[in-house]
Amino acid sequence: MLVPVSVWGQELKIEGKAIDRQTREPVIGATVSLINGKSGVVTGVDGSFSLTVASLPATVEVNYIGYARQEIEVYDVSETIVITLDEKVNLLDELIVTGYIQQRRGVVTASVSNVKGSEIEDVHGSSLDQKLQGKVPGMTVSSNSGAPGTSVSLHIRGTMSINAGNSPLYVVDGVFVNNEALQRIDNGGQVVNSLADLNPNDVESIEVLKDANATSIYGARGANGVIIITTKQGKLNTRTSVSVGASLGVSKVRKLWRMVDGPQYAELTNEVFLNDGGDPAKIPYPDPAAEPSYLEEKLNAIFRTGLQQNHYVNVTGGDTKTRYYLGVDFNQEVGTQKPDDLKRYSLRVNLDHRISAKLKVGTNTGLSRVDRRISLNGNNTAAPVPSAIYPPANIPSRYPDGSYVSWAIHDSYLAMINDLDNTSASNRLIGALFAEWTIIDNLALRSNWNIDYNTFDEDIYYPGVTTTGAARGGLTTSARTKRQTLINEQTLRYGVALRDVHNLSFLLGNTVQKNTSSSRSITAYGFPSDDFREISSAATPSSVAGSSSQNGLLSFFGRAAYDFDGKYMADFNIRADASSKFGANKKWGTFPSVGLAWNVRKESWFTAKWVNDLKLRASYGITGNQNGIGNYSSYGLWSGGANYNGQSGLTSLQLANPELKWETTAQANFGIDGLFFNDRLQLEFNLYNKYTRDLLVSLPIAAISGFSSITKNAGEISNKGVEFAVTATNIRKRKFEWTTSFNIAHNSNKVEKLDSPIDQYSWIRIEEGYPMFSFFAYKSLGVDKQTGDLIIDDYTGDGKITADDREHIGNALPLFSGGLGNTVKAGNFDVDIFFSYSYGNDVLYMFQYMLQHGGTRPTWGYTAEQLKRWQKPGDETDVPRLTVKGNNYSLRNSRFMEDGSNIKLRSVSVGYNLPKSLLRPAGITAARIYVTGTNLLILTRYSGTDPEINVAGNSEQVLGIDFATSPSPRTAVFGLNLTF
Amino acid sequence: MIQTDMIQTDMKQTDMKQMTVNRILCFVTAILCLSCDGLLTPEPTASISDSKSIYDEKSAGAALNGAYNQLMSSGYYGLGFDIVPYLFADNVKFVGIQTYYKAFVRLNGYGPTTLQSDNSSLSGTWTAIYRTVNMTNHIIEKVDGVTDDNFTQDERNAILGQACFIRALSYFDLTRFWGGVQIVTKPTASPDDVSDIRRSSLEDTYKQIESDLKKAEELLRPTDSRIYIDLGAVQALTARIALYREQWDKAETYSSLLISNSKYSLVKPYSVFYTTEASTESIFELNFTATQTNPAGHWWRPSELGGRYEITLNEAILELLEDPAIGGNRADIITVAEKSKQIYNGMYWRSGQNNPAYLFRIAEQYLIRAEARAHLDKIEESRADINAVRSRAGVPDIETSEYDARAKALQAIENERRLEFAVENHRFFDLRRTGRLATVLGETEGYLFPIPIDEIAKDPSLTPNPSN
Repeated sequence: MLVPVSVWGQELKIEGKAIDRQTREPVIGATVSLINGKSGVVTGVDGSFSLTVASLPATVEVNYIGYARQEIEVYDVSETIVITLDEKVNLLDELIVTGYIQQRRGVVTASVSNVKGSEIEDVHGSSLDQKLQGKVPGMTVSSNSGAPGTSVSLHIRGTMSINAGNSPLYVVDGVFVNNEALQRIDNGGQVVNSLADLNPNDVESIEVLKDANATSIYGARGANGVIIITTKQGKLNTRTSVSVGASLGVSKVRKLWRMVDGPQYAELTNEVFLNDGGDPAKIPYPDPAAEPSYLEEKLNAIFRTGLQQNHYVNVTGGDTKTRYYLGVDFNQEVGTQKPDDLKRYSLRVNLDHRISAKLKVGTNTGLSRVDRRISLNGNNTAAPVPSAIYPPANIPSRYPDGSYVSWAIHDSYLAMINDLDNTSASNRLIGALFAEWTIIDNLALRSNWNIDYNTFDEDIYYPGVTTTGAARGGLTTSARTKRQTLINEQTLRYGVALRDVHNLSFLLGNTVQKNTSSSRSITAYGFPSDDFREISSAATPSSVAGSSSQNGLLSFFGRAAYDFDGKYMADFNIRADASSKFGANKKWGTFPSVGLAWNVRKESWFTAKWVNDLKLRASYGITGNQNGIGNYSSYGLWSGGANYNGQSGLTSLQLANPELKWETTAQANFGIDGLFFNDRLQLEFNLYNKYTRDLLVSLPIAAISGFSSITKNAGEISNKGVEFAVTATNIRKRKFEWTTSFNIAHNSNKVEKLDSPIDQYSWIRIEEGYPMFSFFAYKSLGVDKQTGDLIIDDYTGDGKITADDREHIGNALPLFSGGLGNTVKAGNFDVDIFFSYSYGNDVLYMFQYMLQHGGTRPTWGYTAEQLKRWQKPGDETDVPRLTVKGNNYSLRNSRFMEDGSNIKLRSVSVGYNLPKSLLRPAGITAARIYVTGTNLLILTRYSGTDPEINVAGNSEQVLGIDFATSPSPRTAVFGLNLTF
Repeated sequence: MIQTDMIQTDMKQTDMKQMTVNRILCFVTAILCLSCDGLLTPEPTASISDSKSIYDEKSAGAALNGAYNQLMSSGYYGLGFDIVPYLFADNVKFVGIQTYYKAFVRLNGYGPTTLQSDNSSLSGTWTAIYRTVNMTNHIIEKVDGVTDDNFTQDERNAILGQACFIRALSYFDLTRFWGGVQIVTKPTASPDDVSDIRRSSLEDTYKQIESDLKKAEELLRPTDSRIYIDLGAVQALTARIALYREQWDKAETYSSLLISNSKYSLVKPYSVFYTTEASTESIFELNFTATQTNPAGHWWRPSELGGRYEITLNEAILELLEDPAIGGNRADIITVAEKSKQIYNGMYWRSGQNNPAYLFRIAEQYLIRAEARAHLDKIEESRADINAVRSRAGVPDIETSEYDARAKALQAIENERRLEFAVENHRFFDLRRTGRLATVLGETEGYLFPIPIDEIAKDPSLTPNPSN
């Protein structure tokens, strides 16, 4: 199809070359054709082309993606013509992926945010979602822990659900990928991030679909938003380009916990004893000053300088029929907390080939392996940090004979960092195979066969030197989990332009999806010695567990869109889904949406020259949710394993609910997009109102039923919000450009209806009339100056403090959040500084609650804040008198709520592009060296280590609880990228 | 009537329409995925549906094992119900960090606690016991209806009898924590089945318990087993309940049945009952295994032995146990860890957490009879019973002079029970039923635990206790 035109009669040959105006580099793969000619030629690797014409003068046009169309009149063929192309900066023509189709931004009616792969390149992080913090208005991202490759709490436009999950749907090159952890072994509340299986270097762009019009084409899974990840592709008719990158970095924890030292501990312990009426002659520590302190030694042993390295090679290219992308990467992160370590190996092959002008086949396939060595985390009594710093400072690390000291509920932290073997390996295949048949012009049928196959192997071995292992002669658990998603999908697309102004497009499709998962785990103990670690050497299996389950989803969807000359746009989407998870008569759900847009700028009466574009959008639609609930939640079930005396037994597991159905969210969105001052100012504004009905809830029921909950549609949640984003090119000169981008979003969340409150983690209560993630406990009114006792608000006013006096005392959701970025390009240098921020989110400093215990937890030491305790009448402090009696230290109360508002300097990067003149002789096209710092600074009033962390990264119902989880470290990375 | 018909017609039409739509969709589905049978109706493989629960001899037996398994759950005899009563009395002190247990413990064994109605151990026990009740309700409801020729009447009786016993024990244990409770005797199919059930009086709750016990007594026979419920276990519970209800004759009669039974005898020394599995001391003990563990010991054992070390014996009980004239060889339960020198309860010596829970042992029957006889003014016979227990512990007999009146005898029995069951769950209940809570513990007389506040929130017909 790209054969030079054969013309009747005499032939004249135009020789020419296409180059980029800025870089003066040849432009490869541009199409050169005669105006109104049917076909043309493509520029070669040096940008050159030759075109035969019948007569002169001739008008030649050059087209290439990313460049403005260029026309040139040719009068003479005797010398080579040079055509300089300008990079196209028209943002309206930018292609946006919006669910099964690509659209020009100019005609999009939905609320979609776009992040380029290059924008997140410089942010350090082992998983993609982590890198998105602050980049998308209305999307809140927080890392639950500082350990490499652990989960991230990511919410788009608030939280819609209680039990059905609040994570968006992730789609990688059309494959619905699983983002739930397959982890079975508890590591102290933290779970692995299964998106760490993806290599961020492979990513071309990320689209975040936010409103119902954008997401309803994903129907059943669209309610929480959709994140579409598109990986890099080769280009037709381009020469092979090889990019290699290498980076090395170090990381260090920013802040750790402050505890009392040995003598202070002894003093406090004596004071508790005396306050509680102990005999002064028998005080526990007659000479407090003599007590030793081992805290520093312990923390130094656990924390280290972390190391990062990332190496990748990308090869792209294409000829007239085939284009390809090949990416490999090796990524390692040695965590700041011993023995955290993550290694990822990945390979991606994206390839498509035109068998004929009408038939195209291809694949996007990624393979990866992630090996982790895991440090147990905060809420596991054996975890290194609690084991080291919770015991009093005067407890040594070893007994005089050299053996490890394990203390109270804790294991020895030394055993945990030196001897515990806790590893996992994730093997992941995300593959798409497709064929596309262009039946007639503008009518194409595409069939996709996709797979997301993930195996997750976990092994934990507690040798005899650990407390857990000691009691049983070594204990090991080995778990193998497998999850497979198979998808078959057909789409039929048709587009037509009538009289150049009526643009119509249609899409029809169906999806069949089957998810199967299974897991096996064995725990066994009694090993001949610590040299044996495999299950086969164990004497006694103590638990053998296994399960498998499946669910299916069957969908039909369609879309129709119309625009009149890019001025008036309307589209309509619908999807019908049937899920196996629901009751027999409730399987089908239908999710429609409609979107309208008006491009005011295109009206003839609109004359303001400084406005380049102004579009008003409105949309309304319904989406569904079925995540988070079990595959058989509507069934009444009995399970085995309730054995007695080694004889198999049965137990009633869950109550049936044949009425179980889809959770649905209706969302209205109103938006304005604008471009001003020669595209130098870009604004986006969105206002939305979401209302979720039939919440899928594990609803607590009276325990006299023999059950504590039932999965039920029982509740309603609303989210209302506003988002604003601005990108301004403050200075645009030939050698100097400064761009600022800023976004801010506010979301207000409220549980509108819920039959009975749901408690999480003893501190969080989900209750009608309050937002999700509300903290519920006793309210502290301060410490009585005279008695030193804590005053608790008597909410009921009945004169006594009972559980009825608990109140809502805070909320973990931010009032507003967003990001601020500045990019300066000066000559060959580029500097990028990016801040993310969050305002109004409360954090429960649970670590303080547990360790500022006033004597009530006798086997633990104290935080340094305990030293501020009330000692004598007149003392003004918020730390009550030390005592194990009464309410001073026995009630969960608001004393430990803190403001978690923060501004984080997420990344600073400085890069230098080596001059082309230097590189060309070496055959190098581009070279960049850079230094990046991540999480360099946190401005916050929060007194803990990191306001973002969350003790229960494994729960979607917990947010904002800090309990000695290791904080996000500061990282500095140095790197080099080369393109040949 | 007409209106109703019209509505029904309308509904039918809607149904028809829905069915047609469904049929079309099913047809399309069938064409599209010939290879994916049951895509939308997968059958669970790791669990089974309600209808397949109890339908033959084997599944009925499995359901009974499931009921035993519930008795072993961590809210019930696996931990919560076992340790909370002694945390609430005066033999242990709290040295750990877990506030929901710390809330039960009195400083130096006397005075107020910080217990609140949102205590998660209490709600765990409430839930665990009612789960057990629901399991037994299923068995009692369904076993008679099972059509299986191999399922003999004797086998049915044995299963039903054990289920009745477990239900009786469950309700008795509920009364021991909370007084009269809501009574559910049918298996739950939907949450609506248990709405609007009011708390029964303590007397009515006892009536339910006694009717189940009577049925169990009729259905069960003596067996050789001590880890499964047999007639002996029924008699032991009957004797204990008679003691609680101050039915002295009945208590004496039933405890005598056991004491005179050659299957049971006091083992010597004291430690033999917990170092030997299913010793002759035992009437009924729950047999925890490596896979069905008993975490109670975990809370006692020092860290170097793989435990949490949250509870230890307090100075008062140590002093008593270590006195040869009072504790005797019962001091064997005091165990000291090698490195940390921390003291723990030696009853939980098995490191694999497979320590049994001793629900009924013959020593209790001796002391029940001693107490009943003291009330019946059979002082000398009562003295013989208490001395049987003392002599096994290697402690000198109580002389007649110290045991010549009912009051003296009852005090001696109270003291003896404190030592004999130092870390078993009797003392708090003993002090309550004898009206001694205020004197000994500084606690409100007749104290019942608060009803878990979450349960009150979920169920408006559930009324709180004075302690709520």
